[in-house]
Amino acid sequence: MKKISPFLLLFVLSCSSPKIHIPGNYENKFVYAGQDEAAATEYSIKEAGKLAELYPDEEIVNDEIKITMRFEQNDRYDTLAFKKLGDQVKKKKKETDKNLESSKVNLARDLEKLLNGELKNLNLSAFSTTNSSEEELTENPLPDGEVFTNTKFEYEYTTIKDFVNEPFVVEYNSMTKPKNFSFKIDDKVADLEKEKEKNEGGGYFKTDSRYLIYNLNLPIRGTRVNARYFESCRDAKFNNLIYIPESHYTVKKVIKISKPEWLDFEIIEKNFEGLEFKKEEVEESTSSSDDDDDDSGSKSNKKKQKFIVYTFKNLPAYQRYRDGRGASYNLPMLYIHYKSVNTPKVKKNIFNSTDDLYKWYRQVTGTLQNDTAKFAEFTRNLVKDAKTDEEKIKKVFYWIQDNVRYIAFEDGIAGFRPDECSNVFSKKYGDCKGMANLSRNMLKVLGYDARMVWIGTRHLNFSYDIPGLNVDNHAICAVKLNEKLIFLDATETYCALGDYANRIQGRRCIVEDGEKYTIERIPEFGPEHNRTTVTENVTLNNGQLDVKGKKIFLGESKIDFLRDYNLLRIQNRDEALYNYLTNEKIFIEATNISSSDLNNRDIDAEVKYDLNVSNHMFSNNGKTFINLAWDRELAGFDFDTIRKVDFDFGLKMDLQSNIVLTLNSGQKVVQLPKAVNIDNAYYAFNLEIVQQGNTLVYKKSMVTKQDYIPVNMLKQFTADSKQLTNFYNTFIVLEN
Amino acid sequence: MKKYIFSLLPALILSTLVVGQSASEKKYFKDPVEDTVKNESVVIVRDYDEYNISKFSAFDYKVNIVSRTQYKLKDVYAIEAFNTITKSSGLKKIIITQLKPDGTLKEIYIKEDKNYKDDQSYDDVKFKEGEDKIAVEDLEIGDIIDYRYEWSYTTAVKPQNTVDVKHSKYMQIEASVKNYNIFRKLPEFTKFLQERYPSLSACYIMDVPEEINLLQKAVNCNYKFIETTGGGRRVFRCDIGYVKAYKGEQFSYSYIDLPVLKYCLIQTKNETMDNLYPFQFNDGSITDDQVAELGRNFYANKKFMPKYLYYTDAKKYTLGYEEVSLNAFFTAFIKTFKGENKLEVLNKFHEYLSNNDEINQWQFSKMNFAVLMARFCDKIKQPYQMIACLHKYEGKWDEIIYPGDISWGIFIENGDKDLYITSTSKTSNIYSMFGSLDGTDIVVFNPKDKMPPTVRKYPDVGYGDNTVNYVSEVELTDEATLEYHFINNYTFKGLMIDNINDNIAYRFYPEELDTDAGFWGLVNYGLYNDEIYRDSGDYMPEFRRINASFGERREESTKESFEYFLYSEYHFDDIKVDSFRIIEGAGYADGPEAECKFKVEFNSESVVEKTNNDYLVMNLGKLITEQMEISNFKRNERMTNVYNSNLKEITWDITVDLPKGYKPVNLNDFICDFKNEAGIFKATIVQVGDQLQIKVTKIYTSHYLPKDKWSEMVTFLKQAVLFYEKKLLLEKK
Repeated sequence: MKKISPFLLLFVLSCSSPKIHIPGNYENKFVYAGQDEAAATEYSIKEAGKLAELYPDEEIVNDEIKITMRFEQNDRYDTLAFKKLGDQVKKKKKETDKNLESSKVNLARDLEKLLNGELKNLNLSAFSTTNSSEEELTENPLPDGEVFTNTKFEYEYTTIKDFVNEPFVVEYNSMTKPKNFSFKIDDKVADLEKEKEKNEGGGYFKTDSRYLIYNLNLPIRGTRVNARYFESCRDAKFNNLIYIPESHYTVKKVIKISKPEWLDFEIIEKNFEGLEFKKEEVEESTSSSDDDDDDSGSKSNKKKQKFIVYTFKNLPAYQRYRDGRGASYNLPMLYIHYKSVNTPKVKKNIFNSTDDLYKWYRQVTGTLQNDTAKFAEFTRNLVKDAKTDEEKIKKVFYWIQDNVRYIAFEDGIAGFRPDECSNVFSKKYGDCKGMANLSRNMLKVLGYDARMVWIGTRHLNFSYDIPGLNVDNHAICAVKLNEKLIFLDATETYCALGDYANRIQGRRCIVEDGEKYTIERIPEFGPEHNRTTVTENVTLNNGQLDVKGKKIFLGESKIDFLRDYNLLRIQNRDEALYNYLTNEKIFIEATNISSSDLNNRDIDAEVKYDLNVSNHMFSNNGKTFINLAWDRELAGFDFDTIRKVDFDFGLKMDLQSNIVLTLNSGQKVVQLPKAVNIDNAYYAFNLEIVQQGNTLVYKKSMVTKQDYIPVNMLKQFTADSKQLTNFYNTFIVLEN
Repeated sequence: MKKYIFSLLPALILSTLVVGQSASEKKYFKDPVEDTVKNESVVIVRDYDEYNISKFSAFDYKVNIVSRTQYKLKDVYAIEAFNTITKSSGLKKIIITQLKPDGTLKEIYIKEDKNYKDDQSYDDVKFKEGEDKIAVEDLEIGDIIDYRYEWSYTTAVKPQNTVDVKHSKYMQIEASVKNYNIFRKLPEFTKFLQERYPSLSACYIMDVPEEINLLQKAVNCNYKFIETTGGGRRVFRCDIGYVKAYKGEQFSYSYIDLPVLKYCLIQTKNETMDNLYPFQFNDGSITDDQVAELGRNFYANKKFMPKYLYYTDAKKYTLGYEEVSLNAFFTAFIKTFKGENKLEVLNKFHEYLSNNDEINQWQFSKMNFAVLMARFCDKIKQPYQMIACLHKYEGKWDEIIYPGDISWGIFIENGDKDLYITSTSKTSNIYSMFGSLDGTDIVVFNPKDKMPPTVRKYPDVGYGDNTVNYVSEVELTDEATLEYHFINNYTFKGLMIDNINDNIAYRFYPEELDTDAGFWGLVNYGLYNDEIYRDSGDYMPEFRRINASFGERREESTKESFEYFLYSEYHFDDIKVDSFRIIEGAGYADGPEAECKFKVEFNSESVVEKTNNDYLVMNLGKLITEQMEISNFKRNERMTNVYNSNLKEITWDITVDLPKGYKPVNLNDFICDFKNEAGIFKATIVQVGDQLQIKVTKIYTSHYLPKDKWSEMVTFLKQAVLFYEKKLLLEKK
């Protein structure tokens, strides 16, 4: 108590009413000398306390959220924007080349400017509404689209616990611009400092994505916050998803989407099962100033506008799980399918059909030079010893896998247009598009019919039936051989020709064909394609178990195994293999480890080994107890009962294990674990130990028929995993 | 950066590189180096450090440094490791280039600071790694990545007016106070020759004025600086051949067993040496007399020790700092702890200094610490002598060339247990003894006279000095769910108090705890235990409520941290903490027999697991918590001898209920009586009714084992791990 008394004194002296002074930073606790006051009252604190009991996992409850989205036609839409952009790039390059040649002195100066970020390669302001005085998020801006969106966001929330320190964060990028932020805390205007903007980072090497962060430190529960801002988007195509749940429990959420007559679009309700909501169409008088909240604007231009209004009630907070299958499978969302603009003057398809999506891809890639001169001779040389077409394709495919590093770009147009194949070849790095484009052009040099392919990985639950920019998130290459398409995804290192990573298997894709395209489907394999086969022979040796074993990996399990192994530092590889075989258990020792060539993706990966297991057997009172389950696959799963997100295995697993224990003469089986037989639409687990002559055969078959478990099966899977755990725990009882 | 720019630039880059290169650098990087290393992902082809020292002013020198390393990439791992390079700044020149196997040179990053200040002091050099990264183009196996950094500083010391301080016990508020602890210093090195990757060749050059000399010692290697003289300059050059990669090993003092090159520059011009470069030995073979002489000089030379300390009365909570003379500070300190005996007052003073971050910032802080302790003893009239010592991991006396490598302290005769006060650790006290000094030679001298020093052997520090005792009552509270309630009482003694501090600090991420000084703030102030957040009724209602709310929030956060801590100990993933209390002592346990005790209560349903027949499996071994493990893979390879600084004894007294209706099958598996040269592991288990009583003792008995006896340590440790992994089978009666 003595420690805080001076501060208490300060506090008492400074308070003339029962208001609470907000500490500047509650970590310097009890220095209650902050300038801000919160008008928390006994009533609001008490009410917040009641809510806290109702929602024990929440710190904040959203009382009401309103999102109002309006569309604006881009009168200056330029159908040649991509071409002009390409011309601009060429012009700039020519100028730069000229400058480079002028003198070494100039060259050095320019280089330094470039390194310091003072020299910009591209000045693309002609195609952008972005004010040039503002920060450029990318040097590769996309041109404006046919339709702009202006969205107003209004949040009203209450803290229901004390010491809530949660910033207000808005993500934006080179297509969107948040502005006109205003905040009120307990109905008083709060002038919050914009703390920082930072790169999103994540898995991207370069991205135009940024965060705008307003720090909000709210120490007294019952504090009410009103926040609002506007966001303009230069192309509605990039603004077609509205997620319904928020990061906290939301009492009411209203989403209003204007319905102008000139815009043909459809709203698709995804994952709406179980939501409490109402949809209605209303007509409202609005002023032009509502679009951007510019208070100085005239309010006289009243006009009638139709809106589609969704009102949601009692929305639980959204859930995030690292092992989730992808937001679009479970997260409720409104997906806006923009079809066309239809005015008396303009009739223009946006994404009315997949044709339009392909046209857009063509526009984005239309400026590519695809100059193959730089690698033509190299490519021909690379395949000079290959005899068949397949061997030649393989040489190119594997060379790119092995020599071109994957580096991800999500940076304006660079997020959609592949880098020039000659650049990717020279730089020896690129993203999926760049690697696909290089694959395509190297194969073209050899005379093959190679094509770009756009594809959405299994992470996405969208389809070409409702085309949009969300459908595809990946690019690969396809080569037509004997009228059949072979797909090449060079980002998948150690993937053999004809094999496909699980993430693209079975997915529909757009395959280029000049002005036309075809929609194809990547072959899909069953779980047996990824089979891991384990064969172990066990003998009893003086209280320990001697094991002679072999593991064979196929398909995705092989790709993963080879990749994990080869990306280790050489001197760590043997240890990693040892640890893998022994599960890092000190009571298992591995010897005589040998393997197939783990650099060769064209053969099955095989590892042979001997194990000595010392903690799985003991004898007592004439009985011997043995446990053969040193590998305990899929044991211990215990999903949250509240989880509403599918679980993603990442692949269809197929494990076939056969362990044979040879009994000593005279040993008699007293008790064996009861067999486990589980079979449903998603997985089949069959584990049993049976006696065959003087051996006990432990057969384990674990197959996940799909690469995921849906939400409605998670409870079942938890129970089944428990069965597996119990089986693994069970000892064989022998009588000597 | 565009490829088309670089394709025109090799000549330019070459010229950029060559400008400012010394003849030595040019030659060293021109000479071929043969790569004979197989089975490596990355190899250091050349490693080069060049120190060029010139006169800066009458008493000061300018030090210009070129540091350059070339890495050869030999596999996919290496390509991934050097995939991107961070843009750095803050140095005079940074040049990162890429050498292709065909000899082509490509630029990756060049940054030259034209405004770089050559006259800045060492502390002002601010090397900074930026956030921006460069994706290295055309990276291939066989490429060499060449990092060249150039910067400079001077030995001139700018009078620093302030240093930031944060006293973790008495004051929690950062403040700035004057820094009087300033002096000049020439470069010194303890160069550990093994790097993360094997090194084919290295070259270190010291190009200095005539009045500067170089002292050197080669430890576990024969490399040597060779001197050439001319033109008023002395050039010392050391060429090093192949050195294999460093591989970390447990129970190892790498600096003792692996190749190390120690060297330092000294000022030989007498008239400046005395005052400006005071902390140096004049030759490479020091004697006990020289050590004592240095200590005495330091004790006596007030110019190079702080004149003042600041002082805040710990009993009051005023925020001000007041600078007072050392004498006034001592007087005030003694007054604060009036009535306690001399050693207790000295212990408080040790505590004050060891918690004083300002002192910890001082260069030669170990010396400063010892002298302040000595002068405080003078003040309280406590007889003492000063000591100089070397922890085993710091090397041997005949390897010392630089005074900063020595640890200092004071020695006090104290009946049966003499005190060797050497530690500046926050959680040590004047009674702390260190196994890393066990049996070493301690130079003992009186700082106030010229009597020859004596050499004493540091006493044996046995495992009985450092103990941990776990008393764990594990009670079955729910027969249906097999939920168990744990009541764990922990008692730490000796250096184990330090260990638990480190352990908790490591696991708990103190900076994330809502306390001012992290976990030990929590413990030191007893905030978790006391009533500070309880409703006393003294405050206004709102204040009272929010005060309590803060306490609850912190309690919740601490519980979560403890759940994580206990998970890492037991690996039960369903642990729910009931309560946690520091019982006594905590990090500031004082006195020769000081103990730190705390108690944790928690629940788990993972002690016993079901099977699919009539048996149950009890994770009985896990009740001794996770044990240190040496992987089987590593048991046979050992490069260094085996050192164990602090011997210790850990004991467990566990009682655990058996589920009703079940009897144990393999109880005898839990009986163990192991002893070898590394340690002892003993376990007994008895069944009393429906309860098991387990007593386990693990003792590290050996300070040192030669590397060919590494298996002794591995085998000893393995006993505990095997016990931890053992399961008890329970059969239905």
